[in-house]
Order: sequence, then C-alpha cells, then structure tokens
Amino acid sequence: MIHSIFFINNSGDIFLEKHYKRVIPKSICDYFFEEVTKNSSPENVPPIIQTPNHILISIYRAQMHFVAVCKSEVPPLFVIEFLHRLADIIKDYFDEVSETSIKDNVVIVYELLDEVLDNGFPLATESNILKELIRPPNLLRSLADTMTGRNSTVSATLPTGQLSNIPWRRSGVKYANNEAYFDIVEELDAIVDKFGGAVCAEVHGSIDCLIKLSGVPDLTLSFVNSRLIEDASLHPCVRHRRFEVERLLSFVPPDGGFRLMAYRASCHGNLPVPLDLRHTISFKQASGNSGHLELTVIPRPPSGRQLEDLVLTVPMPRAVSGASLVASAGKYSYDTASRTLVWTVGRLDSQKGAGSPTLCGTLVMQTGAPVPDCRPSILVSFSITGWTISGLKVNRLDLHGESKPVLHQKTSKYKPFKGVKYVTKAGKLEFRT
Amino acid sequence: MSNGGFQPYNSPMDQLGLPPPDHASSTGSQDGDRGTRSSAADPAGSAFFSGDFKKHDDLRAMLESSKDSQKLEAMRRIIAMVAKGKDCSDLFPSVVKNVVSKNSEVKKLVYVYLTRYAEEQQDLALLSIATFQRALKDPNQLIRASALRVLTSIRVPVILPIQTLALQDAVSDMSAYVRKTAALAIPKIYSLDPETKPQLMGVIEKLLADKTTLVVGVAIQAFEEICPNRIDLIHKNYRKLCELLADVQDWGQVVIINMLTRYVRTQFLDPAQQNQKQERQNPLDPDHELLLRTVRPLFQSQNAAVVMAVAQLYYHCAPPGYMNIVIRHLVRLLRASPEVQSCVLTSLSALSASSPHLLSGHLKCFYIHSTDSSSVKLVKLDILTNLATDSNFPVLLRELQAYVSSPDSELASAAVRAIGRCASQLPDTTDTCLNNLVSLLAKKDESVVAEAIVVIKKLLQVQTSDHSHMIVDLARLVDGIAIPRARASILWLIGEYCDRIPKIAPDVLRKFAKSFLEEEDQVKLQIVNLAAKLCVCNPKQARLLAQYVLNLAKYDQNYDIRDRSRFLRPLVLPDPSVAEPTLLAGKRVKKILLAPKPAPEVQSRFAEKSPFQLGSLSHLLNLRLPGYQALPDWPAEQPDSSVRAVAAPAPAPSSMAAYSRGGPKEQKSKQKQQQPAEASLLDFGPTNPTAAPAAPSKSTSRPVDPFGLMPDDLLLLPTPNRMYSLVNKYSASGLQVDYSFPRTCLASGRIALSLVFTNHSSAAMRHVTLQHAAGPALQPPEPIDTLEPGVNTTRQAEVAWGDSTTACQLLLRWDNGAQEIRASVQPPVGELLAPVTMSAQQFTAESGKLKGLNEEKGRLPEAASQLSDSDLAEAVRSSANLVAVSGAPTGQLWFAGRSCASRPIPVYVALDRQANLLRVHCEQMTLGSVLHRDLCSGIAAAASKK
Repeated sequence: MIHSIFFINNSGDIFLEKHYKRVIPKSICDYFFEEVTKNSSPENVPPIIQTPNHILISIYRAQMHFVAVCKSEVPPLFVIEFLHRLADIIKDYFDEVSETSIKDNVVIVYELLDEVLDNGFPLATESNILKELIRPPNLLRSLADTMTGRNSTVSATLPTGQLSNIPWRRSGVKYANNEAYFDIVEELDAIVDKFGGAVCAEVHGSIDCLIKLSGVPDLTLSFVNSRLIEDASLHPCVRHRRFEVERLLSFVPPDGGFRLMAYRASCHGNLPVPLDLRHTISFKQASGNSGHLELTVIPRPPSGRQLEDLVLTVPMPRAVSGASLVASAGKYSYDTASRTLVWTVGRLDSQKGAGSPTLCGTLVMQTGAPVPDCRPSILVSFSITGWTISGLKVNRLDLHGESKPVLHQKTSKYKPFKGVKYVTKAGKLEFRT
Repeated sequence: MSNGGFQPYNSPMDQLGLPPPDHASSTGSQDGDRGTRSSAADPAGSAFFSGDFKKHDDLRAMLESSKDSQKLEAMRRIIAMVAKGKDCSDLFPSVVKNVVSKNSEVKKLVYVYLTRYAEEQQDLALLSIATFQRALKDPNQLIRASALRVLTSIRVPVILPIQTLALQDAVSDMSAYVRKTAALAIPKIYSLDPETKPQLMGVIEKLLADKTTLVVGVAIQAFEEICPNRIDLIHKNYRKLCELLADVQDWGQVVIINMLTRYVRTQFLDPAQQNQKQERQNPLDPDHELLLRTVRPLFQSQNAAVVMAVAQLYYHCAPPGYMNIVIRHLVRLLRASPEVQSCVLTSLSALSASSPHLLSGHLKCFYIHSTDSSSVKLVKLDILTNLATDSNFPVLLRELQAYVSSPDSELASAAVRAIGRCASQLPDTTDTCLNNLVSLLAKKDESVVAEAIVVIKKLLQVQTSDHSHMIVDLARLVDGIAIPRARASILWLIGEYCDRIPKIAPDVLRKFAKSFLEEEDQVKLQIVNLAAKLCVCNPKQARLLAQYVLNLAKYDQNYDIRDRSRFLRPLVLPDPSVAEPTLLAGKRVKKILLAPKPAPEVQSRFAEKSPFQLGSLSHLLNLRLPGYQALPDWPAEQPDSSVRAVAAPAPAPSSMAAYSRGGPKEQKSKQKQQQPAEASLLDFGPTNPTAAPAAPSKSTSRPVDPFGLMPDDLLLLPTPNRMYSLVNKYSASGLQVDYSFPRTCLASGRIALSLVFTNHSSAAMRHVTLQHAAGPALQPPEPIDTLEPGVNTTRQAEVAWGDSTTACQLLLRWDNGAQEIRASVQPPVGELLAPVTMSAQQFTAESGKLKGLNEEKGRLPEAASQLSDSDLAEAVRSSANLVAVSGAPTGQLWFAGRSCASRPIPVYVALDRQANLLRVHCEQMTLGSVLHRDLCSGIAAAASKK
C-alpha cells in the first residue's frame, strides 16, 4: 500500500526517508516541491498529488510534511489516517512532534517506522504495544542504563498485548498512585455575520483521558445529561452496545493518555456565543494614506466564569503595511510579513468595572497601492474553564474488575483518584466584518 | 473525466511536461553534494579522516570491535545516515557479519539495514540467510516472526525457494503473531516472482480460514493483492468475517469492508430494485443483512478511513433508506484534520451532485471558514451550489455575497462563478443573480470584476430576453478592465449582439483597432472576430476598420491569429478581382458568423455519476488507477446462497473459547452482535458474561492450528462425565456437592468445573456460596439464593490450575454464613488438557522433538490386550482430555493434546500394541509421569469392567 515515507520540513529538506518496498529515489519529491511553490502557504498544498507513476499523499503537521508514496489504488483516508497516527505516535514518544525531536531521536523514529508498517501495511500502531517493543527515551532510564551498562531500546519478547483480548492495553501495569483524569473539552465553531447574528454554530466536544490504574480496571463513566451527545466516535475499547442502550461509557482503558470519545453536542436554538464584538475597519480616509480600525470586545461569559486567553487575529489585505493602535487592555502586534494583526487580550475579569477592552487607531496603507475593498474576518480564540457550553456533565465514574483476584496474585482493591476538568474553547470562531 | 493524465503509466517521467529525468538526476546529485557537505558536521562522517574513500573507516572499526556497546553505537550512526537517505552500501560487509549478534538492538538495526541494502548486495546478503533459517525455529515467537519478516523482505530472487518454504511453515505456526507476519509476507513473495501465485493461493486459502482477529485482516489484504477475483474463497468465511469484524484492528477493518462490498455486489440482489418490484415483500438475504448489521457500530470508529469504508458499503449495498445515517457520519468527519476533511468533501461533493436532497439538511456544515485551505473552500463552494434550491436560494445568495468580499481573491472569483451556476440551475433566480453580478462590476478587485463579466456573458447567452442595456454598460467598462479574459468576453458579447447596439459596436472596434498590437492573444482573436461580424452586419461603418484589423492580424506572431485572419478575409471581404461569385457570399456569411450558438453549460465536476467506488483514490482523482477493483453490477438472479453455510456449527467449543476472545472484549463483541449471533456465541462455553476481565491469554506454543481441522464426528463423541464428590451430605448436614469436568478449556487457561448442589435435608437452604480459600485462583460460581429440599442445581466455576494439580481449597457457606465447611478440589491430570487435532505426520514430527527426559515410557497394563482398539481409545479419552490422531499405523494408537495453562505445553500419547508400550511425550516431566500412571490405571479399570 504505502511504498515509501518522506519527512520534509518547511525549507524543503527531506530529513528522513524510509522505504518499504523497492527504494524510490528522492527525486519523486520534486513533484511535491512543485506543488509547494505553487501554493502560497504550506497548509494549502493538496493532500493528494498525482505524478505519472506514483501518487503522493501527504499531511502537514507541526511545520512538517509527512509524505507517503503509493503506486496503486488505496483508500486515501487510510493513508492519511495512518500518517496522522504516525505523528501521534511520535508525539507520544517524545512529547512533541517537531523536526528537532525527530532529528534528535532519529534511530528510535526509524525503528518505529520499521515497526509500524510491514511491506506498506500497518503492523503495530497501538502505542501501548509499541512502547513495549521499543522503549521510549526517558532520562531516568538512560541514567540507569549508564549505571548498569545496559544500553538497548528494543525488547526481545513479544508484548503480551499483541495476543490478548484487549490489544490496546499492556499487561502487568502497576502504579503506586492510581489516578484517572478526564478532560472534557468543547469547542465552539461559529461564523458571526457583520450584524452580530450567528450564521452557523456548532459545538464539538471530546473526552481525553489520562489513566494510570493498576491491573485491568473496568471503568464506567456516566453522564448527567447524556442526551446532549450526538454523533459520537468512540475509542475501540468502549463497549458500543452499552453506549447505544444506556448512553454510558463502559471500557477497559489503555494505559496512559488517549481520546476516549469525540462527539457533537446537540444545541437546539441559538447558542450563546460568550462574547460580542463591535468593529469598524476601513482602509480609506479622507486624509492621507491611512485607514481606521476600532475593535471593542463585549464579554458575555456565563455567570461566575471568566474569559481567558482571549486573542483576536485579523488577517489584513496586502495593502496594509502597518498599524499604530492603542489597546485598552492586552497587547497588539502587527506582522508585516504575513500581514496579520494579533491582539492578545488575555484574561478578562468578569467584574463590571473591567468593562469592554478596545483597540483603536490607524492602519498605515502602502503608498500607491489601490484601496482594497475586501472585508477581512476576525478570528477569535478564548477559553473558559470549569464550564461546558453544551452543559454536559459527568455523573460518576465507577471502577470494577479490580476487586476480584487476578490469576496467581491477589491485587488488593484500591480507590483511584478521579478528576474531571471542563473547558470550553473557541474552535473555528470568526466574525465577519 | 480525463483518463489522459494517467495513460503513459509505464513511460518515463519526462512526459506530460513534468520535470524531465535529467532534472531529477541533477537534483539527485545535488542531494549527494548536500550529503557529503553535511557529513562533515556529522559525527559519523569523518571526524578523523578527511578523505572520502576512508570516510566510514571509523564505523568499520567499531563494527569489528568485540564490545556490543561499540557495535550498537556504530549501528545507530549508520541507521541515522540511512534515515537521512545517505548511501551506506559500502559498509554492507561489515554490517552483515553482525547479524549473529546476541544484542537484540544491534540485531534489530542490522535487520533494518539489511532490508534496505540487500537488493544492492545480493551475494553478500546470502551470508545472512542461515541465521534467519535458524531464527525461524526459535522458541520465541517474536524472533520467529521478525526472522520471517526480514527474510521475506530481502528482495533477492535466489532465495525465493527458502522464502516460500519458510512461509509455508509459518502459516501453520502456533503463534497467531507469526501467522500474521506470514500473511504480510505473501505480497512480498508475489512481487518478487508472480509465478509463485498458485502456491501462494494455497497459503491464502489456509489463512482465510484462520479465526483470530489478528490474522484475518492481513489475510484479506493478501487476498486483495494476489487474487481479488477469487470470490469463491470467501464464501465459507463470509459469516465468520462479519462476526469478527468488530474486533479486528481498524486497518484490517477497512480492507475487509472494501472487499466485502464487492462480495455483496456479486452475491446478493440489488435491494433498491427488489423493493420496487415486489413492494417490500422480499426482505434482504439474511447474510446481506448480517453484514449491514455487524458493520453499523463501526460508523462510530475514531478512524476516518473505517467510517468512510462503512459509508461506501452502505452507499453501494444498502437499501436506499439508510443514506441519512451515512451522511450524518460523513459530515461528522468534517471536523477531523484538514486532509481528511478535503477527502471527505470530495466524496460528499459527488453525493451532492447525484442526490442533493440527502445533504440539504446539512447546508450549514459547508459554510466556508476563512481558515479553510483553498482546495477545501472550492469543494465546499461546489457542494453549496449543488444544494441550491428555490427555497434556500436567498440564504445561500447572502452567503455567497459574503465570500465575494473575502480577501482571498481565488475564493471571491469562485463565488462569482457559483452565483452564475445557481442562476443557470434555477431559472427563476436568473434575474436576481444577474443584477447581483452587475453590481459586482463596481468592485475594485479586478479578478472579481473579470469573473463577473465572464459569468454574465454566459448567462446572457442563455437568456432570451433583451439585455442590450447591460451590454452597453459592459462596453463602457471595457477601458478600465485589464484582465484579458474579461476583455475578450466583452468583445465577444458586442460582436454577437452587435445588431442590438448598432451605435456603440463600431466605436468599440475603432478603439481596439488602435490598441490591437498591445493586446493579449485571446483579446486579439476576439477583435478579429468582432471586426468580421461587424463587417457583415454594418459594412458601411466597419468595412475599412475590419480591413485594417485583418491586415494587422495577417502579420501577427501567433499563427492562430494569422490563420483566423486568412480564413475570415475571403468571407467578409471578398476579393473583387475574382469574378466568380463565391458560394459563401452575401447573407450566407451572416448565417455562418452569427449563427445561434448553444449556451455553455456550467456544471459541477461530479455532474455525471462517477463509476468508481466511493471513497477510493480512483474516485477522488476520477481516473482508473492500477490495482483498482471495479465494483461489479448487481446480479440479475439470486446466486446460490447456500455456499456460505458452514457445515460444522462453528469450531469445537474448547478451541474456540481458548483462542478467541474472552474477557471484556468477548463481552463487548457479544453485545455488538445481535440476537442470532449472540445466541450461538454464548453456547461456546460456560463463560460467565459478567466475568471479570481475564488476564491476557498467552497462547504461545500451540502445536498446530486446530481451527477447521476438527473432524465432524469428533464433536459428536460424548464427553465422559465422571462425577467426583466435593462435599458429602453426611459431613455437611444434608448439602451434597458433586463436580465434574465439562472439558471446556476457557480463555486464559482456566478449567471449567461443573458443580451440582443437592439438598438432602428437609429444610430449604438459603444463599449457598462457594468461595476461594487457598490454592489456584477460582472464578466462583454464582450464589444460589434458595435451595429447596430434594432439589439439585447446577453451577459453573472456573479454576486456574495451569499445569499443576495443586488442590484448590474452597469454602462452602450457606444459610447466610451460618453454616460453613471447607473442601478441596484436585483435578486428575488428564483434565488439565485440551485436545488438539493433527495429522499423523505432524504427530511424528512434533513428538519426535520431545525425546529423552521428556518422554515417559512404560508397559501397557496386561489387561489391555483384552480390549479392542476403540475400547482402548475410549479408555484413554475417559481418563484424559485428548483426541486420537487419525492415520496412525495399525497396531498403534496416537493421541494429542495440550495443557490449558497460559503457556500451553503440548502432550502426545502413543500406544503401541505390538510392543506393549505406552509412551507419553511431554515437556514437563511430572505432568508426563502422572499422566502415564493415570492412563495405565484407567486402561486397567476399563479392562476389569469388561
């Protein structure tokens, strides 16, 4: 299916390549570079590029292109999902996907690449299994290794998970402190037109877990108002039937962090966008080469909560060469290369006195350029902790299975520490002007 | 539909105007330069030597060293260079030596290196083969599997026979992981030599029958690559595939579902047709329905590829009513990464063109965000336009207008085109659209204006009513517009409708005649056209101008323009010197030049129904790629549906329960499969559905694959049901508990125990429980609430004895703990086993491995001579859970089995009547000798009964 994989950075260097069948020369990437030069930004490079003999399927993540070369028919989403999974695995191993993290650990990455695909078909992609085959780097371990003289990252035996009934969980997990954390993050996607009305609005949520529990725990997570969940996607560990019938999540979790569920929240009627924006942007003024900009944020957070990390981004047309503005709160910056105005407001206190922050001033226009008559959109990002916009709430988390004696050894029953965090963020939230 | 793009598939890269090979090779050498340049900074490059020819000497020295740490360091550096794409083939001789290294990481890195360079150094690569052959026999399954992986990845034709042999062995390996590796190896061997196909087919057939979720997905992938048309191989496995699907890894799911889509299209009738003809009288084939049902939960997969695979299955194979679910889940994928989004949108755009009503409820999902990538924006716009109806048009138009004023000029012009398409799709809205487009002419963005003009031109062609004032407006605008396409369009319009604007047309021609030399080619062509048309309609004013323009064109650099002028001149300016009246004179010329022209059609890219499978790469690119398997048409007649029936009611209970899914996953799959499947699965063993998750079973050394090999008659043999007493009614005040071994070996190596509780007292007993006190772990039976006098009740329990016959201490309580008694269960060793079927050859081979200390040899009891062969076999079976091996030589009786422990141990028993010998082969000596003793006493007892 996948013949070769190339990692390419933003400056066009192929810094890692792996071939699964015959070696395909690097020059195949010239077709890719051609597309890169054709497109203004790397995000715009089409994910599927056709060349006379090959198909290049690529994803763009963390300032890098992951390019897979295919020769014949293959489900395109299969390859795309695989490349994303690969990036996820790298992130899981080195805490971040970046050129430096890959270059610093090139041997481990190469070993991983060897393990995830065989002859172009996925072999082992569960990070719990991979971590037993190839151990991730770890400061404590490297210290221990130097002391004991052991120096190997690969394991000599097959991870038990491969053959077990629960292939996503490694066996023999033991923790001194048993903890289970759930992050419920909801994102608001909305377009607000210039009159302040929402053109479209949707809420998408996800539940990310970090589970550190000994043995083989069997968890049940139930919600106060599960009817809010629509169109869910579930981790393979979740028992589908119980979710369908009882609307609760019953599962034996993998060890570590993973995404348990993603869902669309049903929101009937209008969603309350937790802020309003007044804006005037004009590029021409009677006197001289200057435009005028005025932005006012009117926060409307739910009672008792605060808007945090508020950032407004305005991509300006090419003719705007600079800005001289005054911000009543936060800081603003204008990037002349990408022509974007970024106003970092930060945290907005909900006390009445704080009022509505304003950004106001003039835009410097390029001399001689025609006055643009487009209307830029204002992209807004924020986060509110301790609150979900849909109102979804966890009812309880139960642990089963660990009270019973497991073969050959008796695990004592433990009481895990459970934590749930709610966050609402702006997803793709934009205000049209 | 352009098949052209991919035509020269086998031709060199220089075609289609793409970078020629020399360009490619020049970049290659640049890369090489870069490689050597950066190698100076690389530690492995040459910190000590500057000469290029010596650059790897330090690495060589390290590889030769006796220290593992040095070797490992060297290998790490080499692999780092390989990863960067630098050539390290000159190190091959030094590296290949280390294939025998004991250090697992050195070995792994050498393997990685070998697969990369073996093809280039074929002779040297042969040196490593012996190591792999040895590793293929290693007791560690990971080592066996990786040896097979590397051996088959070495693309050296000479070793093909060795590879095929290794593959054939691995297919019947006891480890599912090795079998999975074997399945992956099939396409590798096939690509090395397609002649091996007949052999590989046999291997695939064997793997398709495998029932482990680990193997099934890869086996289907091999099937798809080698013999995708042998649908007949699937029949017997179809139901199994449907049932296992939910538990297969997501990548395997995609492959299986895509294959089954083709299968369904050949084996069942078209559900849509059926309904029409017989008005829903004829329901779906149960097997067809089974697939649709088992696949449905996968809509909620986190893997977009799986969701897409299920969606296309439903699109191509389900009755039409299901499409709403499909769309809902596809729309959900739009939240995923931009790449996934763009692929899914392409599929949705095809759907929106063929059946817009399905998507009409999701209009808002396709609204464009300014952060979308440009290709996503265009596809979304296409979908939005496809979904336009008279009712949603006002909303849509407002949205499109917002895009027109977007800073992204590409989107803005595409939005203008979209407005034009709406106008031609919905005739009632044309006027609104035209007015809107005209108002756009006042915009400052040139590309938008140009696009608007082109669209207006198209719309005016469609319109029958008079729009002369609009053409006049356009003619006035022409001076201010620089974009050639727009200028050409205006000129064409003026030429076409010159009789409606008689005053302005000649003036425009005059202006353009002046600027002819500065115009772009396409504008020049239109000037020539305009001149010719005017000359015919209005010769008085235009004749001289036309002559001038045609003269200019005659000497133009572009041959098209020259040709056009030569072609038009005799038509519109007939040479007076030629007396002969040409056929094309006078009014006929007007008919030719100003003939009514068909209006252009504006359509979506997917307007005609794509013949390709939804979600495939071929569908996305709209051309047939190599390896694409066309979706067959539905058959007209119902093909034989009995081919899918499997003779035996699934596999033997013991093997199924032992190797497939136990614990929570089994529970889960049971929940997923609905009624019929559930019932059959539940029959497999007395697994308690609420059982605690079992420790993962490690079935490492199963001698052969018992699946599908179990002879049918074997299943019918009655299980010897010897009862043992656990608690005597006299010692336990009336409660008697007996137990027997139902001989079902469960997942995780536990042994089932069937307990019969009988109340011999005169009062009812309340809350009878049996608990674990000491010894091997016990999965206790369900408590009995009330046990009436004289009644007996059966309960199931499971004990993890493993390989030892340690007694399991139990605590029996009843009457809410008021009564309590201790008891213990010690199993006869024969009950710790599970039968394994195998052929006589396998038996000789496998038992031959267990000689010497592993063999317990002794005389048969004298009484054995009185027994017939079948009685003797019965006697053995009653004392040990073994199965006879068919095909043993006469006078001999062979039995095979294995222990139920988490790491099963094979056990072989051979009775030789002539030599009067009983041999027990078993790795564990105590188990072997105890079994030998038990068998002897069992046979003696059977003989004394006679």
